[in-house]
Amino acid sequence: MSQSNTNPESAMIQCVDVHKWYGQFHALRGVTLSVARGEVVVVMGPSGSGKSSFIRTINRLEEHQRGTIIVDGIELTHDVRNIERIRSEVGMVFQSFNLFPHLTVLENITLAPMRVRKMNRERAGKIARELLERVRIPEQADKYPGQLSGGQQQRVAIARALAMEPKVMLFDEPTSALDPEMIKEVLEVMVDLAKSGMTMICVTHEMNFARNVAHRVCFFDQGNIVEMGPPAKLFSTPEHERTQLFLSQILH
Amino acid sequence: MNTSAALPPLTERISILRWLRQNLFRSVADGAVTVLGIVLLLSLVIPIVTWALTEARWQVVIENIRLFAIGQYPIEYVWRVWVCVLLLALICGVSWGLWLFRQRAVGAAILTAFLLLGLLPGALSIPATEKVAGFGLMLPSLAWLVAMSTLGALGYAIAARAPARARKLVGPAWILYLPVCFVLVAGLGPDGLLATVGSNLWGGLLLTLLITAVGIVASFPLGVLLALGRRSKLPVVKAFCIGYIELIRGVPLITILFMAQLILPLFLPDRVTFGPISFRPEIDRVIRAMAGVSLFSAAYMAENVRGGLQNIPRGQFEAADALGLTATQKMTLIVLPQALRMVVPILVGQFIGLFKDTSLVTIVSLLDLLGIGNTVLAQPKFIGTQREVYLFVAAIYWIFSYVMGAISRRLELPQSASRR
Amino acid sequence: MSDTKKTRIPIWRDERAYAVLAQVAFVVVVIAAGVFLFGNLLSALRRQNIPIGFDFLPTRAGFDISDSFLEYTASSNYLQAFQVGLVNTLVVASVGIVLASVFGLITGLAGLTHNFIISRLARVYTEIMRNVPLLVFLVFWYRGIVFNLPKISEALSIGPILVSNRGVAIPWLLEGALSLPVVRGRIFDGGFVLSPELFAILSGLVIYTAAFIGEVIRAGVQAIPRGQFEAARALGFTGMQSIRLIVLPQALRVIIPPLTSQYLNLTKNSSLAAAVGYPDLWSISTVIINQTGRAVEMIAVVMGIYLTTSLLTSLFMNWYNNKVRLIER
Ligand SMILES: Nc1ncnc2c1ncn2[C@@H]1O[C@H](COP(=O)(O)OP(=O)(O)OP(=O)(O)O)[C@@H](O)[C@H]1O
Ligand SMILES: [Mg+2]
Repeated sequence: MSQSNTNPESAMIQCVDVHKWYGQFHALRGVTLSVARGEVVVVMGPSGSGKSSFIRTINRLEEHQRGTIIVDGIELTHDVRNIERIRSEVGMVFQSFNLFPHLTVLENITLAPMRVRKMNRERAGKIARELLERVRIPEQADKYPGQLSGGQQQRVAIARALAMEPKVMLFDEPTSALDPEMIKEVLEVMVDLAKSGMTMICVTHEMNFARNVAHRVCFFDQGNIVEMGPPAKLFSTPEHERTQLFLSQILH
Repeated sequence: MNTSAALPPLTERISILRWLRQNLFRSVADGAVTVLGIVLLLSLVIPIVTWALTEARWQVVIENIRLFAIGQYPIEYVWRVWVCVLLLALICGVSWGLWLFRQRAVGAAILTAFLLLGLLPGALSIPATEKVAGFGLMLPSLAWLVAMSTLGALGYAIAARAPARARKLVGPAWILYLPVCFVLVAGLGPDGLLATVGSNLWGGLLLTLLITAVGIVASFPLGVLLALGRRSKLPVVKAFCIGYIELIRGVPLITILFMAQLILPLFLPDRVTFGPISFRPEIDRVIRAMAGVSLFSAAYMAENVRGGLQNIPRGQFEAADALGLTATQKMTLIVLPQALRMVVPILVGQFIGLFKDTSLVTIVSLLDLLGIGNTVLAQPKFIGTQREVYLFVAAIYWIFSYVMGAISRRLELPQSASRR
Repeated sequence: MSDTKKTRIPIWRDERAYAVLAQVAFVVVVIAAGVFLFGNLLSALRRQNIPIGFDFLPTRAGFDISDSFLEYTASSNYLQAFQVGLVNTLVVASVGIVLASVFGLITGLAGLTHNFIISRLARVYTEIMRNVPLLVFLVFWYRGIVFNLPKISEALSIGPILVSNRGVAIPWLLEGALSLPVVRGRIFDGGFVLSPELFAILSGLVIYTAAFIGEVIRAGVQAIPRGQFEAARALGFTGMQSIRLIVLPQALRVIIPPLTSQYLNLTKNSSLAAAVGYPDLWSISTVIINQTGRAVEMIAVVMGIYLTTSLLTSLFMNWYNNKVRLIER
């Protein structure tokens, strides 16, 4: 299938020269990134640099106009079947949780497995309860999202994405709408997930998470990756001046 | 502590005085306005009450109560209408038991509605001189009330014991209820228990309620589709829906009812032929009016539903997409349930409006509640009883609208919807 | 490289094709339905020997119109009859809107006062009107009340206004001087005389719509937080100034959209004038339809007129809303 010779077959996500325009505005300017299976990539950068736009193109919440995106050997094109397949392999967690408020926690989690994967109710329910166990809120299954704290909601959102048994998880600033103690709860779950070998792309400015868990950190500016490398190196000796400036602001 | 025993009445008197001062006599001008208001009130109420108790000939209503209720519906089949009412009691009981058992206000409102409905069958048995072929009609109103409350309570009892999953049955039960009623009222065959009763014989409150119910049920899906179409990304679909909605909302209902009466039949082909079967398609006048009302109401429904759709955050759509739901699943499972719940009170308001608007079918010569009123006034015996007749008609409309409005204001949606 | 791949997507799986195909299918269905229905319509009209077109307009109408602001006799033509109806509708709508606003404002403010009696009166009036169909109210008002007003010889005088079952006479400017109406034998002399029908439709619409407008105004004022008023008072404005300069401008922004829709409702509702025997646009049109059988043309024209009015009003409202919002920023 993918006859790309720049990266080995083992790459889970391959983006080559991805461009995106919003009308006239050039939001992504030739992003090239390859993520290996089991790799955890953290994406950082100033506001408006295109981080969200980038990870949203990976599961087609936004359409890219130029370049190639290949997820697990499937290229993202206008082919509806490919889009469906990629979406069911890529889980996404949003900054604002986006739980379905009219469904209980359990229904939120079982909805997609039952409707998209055609799983029966018992099995979906069993998996959902296991996942709630894993994100450490098994007792909240029958509550509605509105009755949970922000941290609990975000963990339900993670469980909901995991219920589709994705091969890749995308996180778009999952903790920036949360209070400090809740951030900790959510990060613990994300660390567990990373340790379990999940391929992850996380847009986050949590330095500790990046330092301890990420295999690689990408620094975005003005619609492109300006610098990329292992966290230890990028944080201690950033080469690009934009990176230096940004890090100095974030580290005070 | 003698004083404390004497105090309460005193404070009470003082607080009444204080209430009077604060609410009626804050200043001299305020006092004058109050006096003026009381004079105005009395000068309106006293003559009206005097008239109603002494001069008014309420006999016109009492003697024609059956016409007001069901029009010329054949008396031997009237029991079919009452079966509809009893079924309604049962379904209401079940729904109350399953959905709203904590909401006493709603229960009380539903009960009131039934008490009123219960008085009608009783009232119908008043012209006792008539020979009655069917059964059921002569039962005194008390029996009807007992029957309805029993059925309602039965439904409630069953529902209260039923498992939570039974909730899913309530929707279908309501959806099924209307066709069942329609069959009961209209009949099926040329004779037998369910002999056909032509729509020219439907009348009075029965016809008003039938047109309202059909209008609600038909305009609902149509309105939802139009609302979705208006938000569609496809320019052609969007333009079409906007055109329809704005056209309908821009013209008076009466023009649409006339169009339904005069032009709708012309849109049908002269003959329809399916192999050996060939017939001349016709729609009777009641159905035409129902079509007109539905087409009209759909445009308003669409705008109300659109209001709900606009309030669904973008994140909900994105989360559904990210989970891999199809466009249809996204709409039916995620977006519409939330949007519709948001606009339930507005939709109830619109349905009340629709109920009131059905009175316009009088102008295209149908004998709904108001139309029957006009025919009653033509009886030589009751010349000059316009006030009595129209006040009675207005009172019926008022009670139904007010009770429905009161229910919708009290109705608390299941907690999930009101949150977030 | 990617281009060659993209061309290989089968068309039934290409999301871009979906949009195009869906729209093409939609257009085809709509046009097919239109052609089918319109074809049926034309052949039905042909069968009934009803021509289509507006050639009937200049022919003699032959019916009388009781109320007219224009020159009209039974020998005038359909077009003139139609114009009479149009003017009547315009008069009823515009006068109705002005009066309904005045009474609506009074009702709304009455509902807001601390005075228990007054606010209760306003509430009861509103609740009665809002739960009764307009048509029922109109026929009750016309046949139950206006018909039963005193005979002209015993006409009620409310200030300079004379009220009787033959109509209502109001003071009016005649030849540059104010003319007060008086009863002379069996007719009114001087002033301007509204026929019972005109009076019934106007007062009926006003009484009915004022209740709705009152609700709009009450809700609009209540939507303004009390803090606004208190802040204004704290800044040293008097009570009246605070209301005029701070509360009212804000309330107006909330009130104007629903108020406009009430105005449009009143205009559309004036098409019920036939119920009280007043010859408005629609009631004259139905007479013309009955005489000529030209239902399609007449309904289309009347709908067109109402639609234009509504659309123009909406356009104006959008413009106004945008203006208000700009000032706000
Ligand atoms: N739907 C859209 N339409 C037009 N422009 C958009 C849209 N979404 C994003 N943009 C623009 O694209 C640029 C990149 O946006 P993006 O949301 O990807 O940035 P980001 O790096 O995620 O920023 P933040 O840290 O604030 O979330 C911004 O300048 C933004 O204004
Ligand atoms: Mg972002």
